[in-house]
Amino acid sequence: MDQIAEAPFNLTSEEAAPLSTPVSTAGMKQIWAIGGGKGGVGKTLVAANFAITLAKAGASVIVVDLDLGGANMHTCLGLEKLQAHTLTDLFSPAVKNLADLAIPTAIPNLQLISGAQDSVTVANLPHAQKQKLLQKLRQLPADYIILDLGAGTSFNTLDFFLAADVGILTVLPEPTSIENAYRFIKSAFYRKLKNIEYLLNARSYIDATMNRKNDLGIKTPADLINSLEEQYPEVGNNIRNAITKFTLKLVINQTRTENDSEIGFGIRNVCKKYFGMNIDYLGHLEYDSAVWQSIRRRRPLALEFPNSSLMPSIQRMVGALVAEQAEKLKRSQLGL
Amino acid sequence: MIQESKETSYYEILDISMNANHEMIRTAYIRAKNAYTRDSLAAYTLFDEEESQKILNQIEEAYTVLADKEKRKIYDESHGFLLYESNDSNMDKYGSPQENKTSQNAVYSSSTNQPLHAVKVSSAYTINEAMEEKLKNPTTVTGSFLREAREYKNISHDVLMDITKIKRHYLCAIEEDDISKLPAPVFVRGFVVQYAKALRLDGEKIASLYMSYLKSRSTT
Repeated sequence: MDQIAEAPFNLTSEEAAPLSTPVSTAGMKQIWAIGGGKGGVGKTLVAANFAITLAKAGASVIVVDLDLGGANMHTCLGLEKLQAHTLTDLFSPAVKNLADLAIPTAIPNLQLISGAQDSVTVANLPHAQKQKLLQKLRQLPADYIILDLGAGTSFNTLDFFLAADVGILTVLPEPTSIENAYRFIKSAFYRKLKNIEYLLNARSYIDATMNRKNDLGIKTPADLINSLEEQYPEVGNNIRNAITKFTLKLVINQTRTENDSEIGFGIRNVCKKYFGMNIDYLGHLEYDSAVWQSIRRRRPLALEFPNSSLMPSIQRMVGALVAEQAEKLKRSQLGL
Repeated sequence: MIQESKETSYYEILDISMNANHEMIRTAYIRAKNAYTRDSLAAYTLFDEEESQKILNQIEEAYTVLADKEKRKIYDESHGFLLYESNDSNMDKYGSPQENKTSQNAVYSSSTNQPLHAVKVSSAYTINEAMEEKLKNPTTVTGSFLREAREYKNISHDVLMDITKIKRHYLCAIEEDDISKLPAPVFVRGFVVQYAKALRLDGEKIASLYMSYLKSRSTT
């Protein structure tokens, strides 16, 4: 478990220092993925403004719009013309390097690879192509690669989310959004289990417990891990480690009251009990009409309304994440 | 439903670190409670009303103990969460708020949050087959049984205190079956589990037998 997970209240934006120093980080290439079960919860808003904040702080950033089939990041970054290249080109012989697809934006250090106007077939990448794409993403020449994922829980979306160094989930303080967020976490949980190779003989046992009405008394993923630890200690232990390591970050968007922002803590507690999973509540973004105006003007919030009340929150969250990841890197270099 | 086979600590229930101070515990308690109340958006999809109620009861129970300085001390001691005696700086958590006190002093294994004292080797002793059998399959466990086992394994009170972090007067009270000097049964049970484990005995079994012995004594 890393230090963040052990901190009393994990890392909330309120406790983290604002982003004051440049974040150019030699040797620390990071992939941050932004997902969320539902459309219109602010994934693109968060992705775009996190990216701009990082770029403005001095890091080189490439945003990749992986909302394959429904991409609109180019609009959020103020790009009007559609670019010559899109992700579909990745598989065409003409493009040798993914970096060739990156186009500059109005913000220095910030580039975009867009999936706009892609053929719909790309939304269902075969496994081999997905692996190739993930590998190429890692090789992109940037300090930060920000993935804006599509809505829903397709295997594509889940795999990109799970492959990232940081997975950020945006949620609205509304029942439907929260339901979808849990569905997303649940899908990610089982996708993660499927990707763990050492399940082997425990596989049929796990399949049997997937049904909530199983007679083993296992109703939650947390129960499953506990019972696996008893039935198959080695498997159970490995799974617990993998799940504990997988810390998901949560952002509550469009909060209007204090109760709304408190929901983040509730979700964190519930996830711990239900999934046995650690969630860091990164912070909340207040409801702000400036957001809608900036989208209407097809300009990024960070540029159009730099004094919006959201900007300090976004800066705090990014600052907290950068600090946390740097600490993690330091610890892993020290072999801790 | 929450599995009961694996005991969840009060700290886990409230989602706080073992070094949280009173203020942190209170905030965490309110947040945890809000998460499971009937109109909470956070819980209703995953837990039904009965399950939420059960969790709420656990939260209340956890808060009742952790918010009370004395009860928390006993709880920590009985669960091996406390590694040093009360003169240690670690004790700040029971007193006035000392912000951001991390577990630098306490030695917790990072993967399990379990104290590392378990590896301590007990003193050498001469093996007696009959005694080994008696310890392995006890029918009744009394305070004198525990003392006999401890003396057979050549472990002094000092060593046992060092391993279990249970205070001497509690160890003595357990060995003397002195209910008047012992805390609430749930704590005594925890003490005896630690006691037995320190002697490399089956903690759960020994504690169950000892608790039923105490119960039979108090009813007669």
